[in-house]
Amino acid sequence: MGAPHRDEAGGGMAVPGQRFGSDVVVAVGALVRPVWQAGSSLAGRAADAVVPKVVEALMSRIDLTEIAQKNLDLDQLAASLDYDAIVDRLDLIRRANFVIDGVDLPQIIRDSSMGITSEAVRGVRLQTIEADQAVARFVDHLRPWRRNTEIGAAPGPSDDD
Amino acid sequence: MVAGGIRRVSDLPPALQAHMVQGARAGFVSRMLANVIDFIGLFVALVIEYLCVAAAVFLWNPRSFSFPAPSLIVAIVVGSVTSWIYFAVCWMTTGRTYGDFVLGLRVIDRKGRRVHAARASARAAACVVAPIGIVWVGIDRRSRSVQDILCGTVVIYDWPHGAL
Repeated sequence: MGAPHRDEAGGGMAVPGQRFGSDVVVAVGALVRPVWQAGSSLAGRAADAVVPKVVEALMSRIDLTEIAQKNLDLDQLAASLDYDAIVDRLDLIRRANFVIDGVDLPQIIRDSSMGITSEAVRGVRLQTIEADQAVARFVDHLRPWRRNTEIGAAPGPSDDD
Repeated sequence: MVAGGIRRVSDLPPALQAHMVQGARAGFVSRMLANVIDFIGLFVALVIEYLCVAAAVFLWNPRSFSFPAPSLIVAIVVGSVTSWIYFAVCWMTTGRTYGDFVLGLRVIDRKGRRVHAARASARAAACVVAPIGIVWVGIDRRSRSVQDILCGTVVIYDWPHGAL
């Protein structure tokens, strides 16, 4: 007892008190580690269950948009963005093709051109009807007997005979 | 009859303008314009006919090919026959040529029915032989052309379905 003895592995001199202390630390560590792990696991599960509900409850009471509008300078934030880098990351051709595929462009062009055409034809027809009536009125002025050129009184097919 | 004696289409509300004239007799300007459109169409058809004949002649004898030069008589006969067939077929089937379609006109008989083949053929022949007969539309109190009087037909405003 009391005499230092040579360490088997390193050949260095080991103090008996120091060895006892380290053994105690190791033993306590071995004892505490499973308890610590079990506690951590339990706390983690409890946090998983509780935190989302707490956050959800908080979020439902907070208007984040309003807070962001009050506290963030959105213009400055937008100015700091590197749009070229964002655009470079986008496959614009593929996205453009996706949009074009989703839009029936020929049908839209057909519909719009047909609408314009039908409106134009309608206008021409109405104008020629006016011209018909103008010619009829002019001819009527040149002769003593008059035809009735009122709309709706124009002679139909059945009154010919 | 429209209350108040409306005499112009533009006096009517826009929604009524087209409806009020349907079935009324078509006047000189509408019918003349329809004929002009048909004339242009027939001219194009005759040019296509000529090119087809030229292509056939070329295929028949490519070495001595030259564009055919028909005499005036042949041109008149071919043009007249083409016009007669076009008018007759259009009037006996739909009651309107393409020009009538554009101007919203229809040829019917005096009872309001579609003209049958004989009447359509006779009217087509009369139109080809004496197209000047359309001038009578502007003079006649019932807006009839000479062909209408001869063949017992009437031309009315009858816009195609969906155009009103």
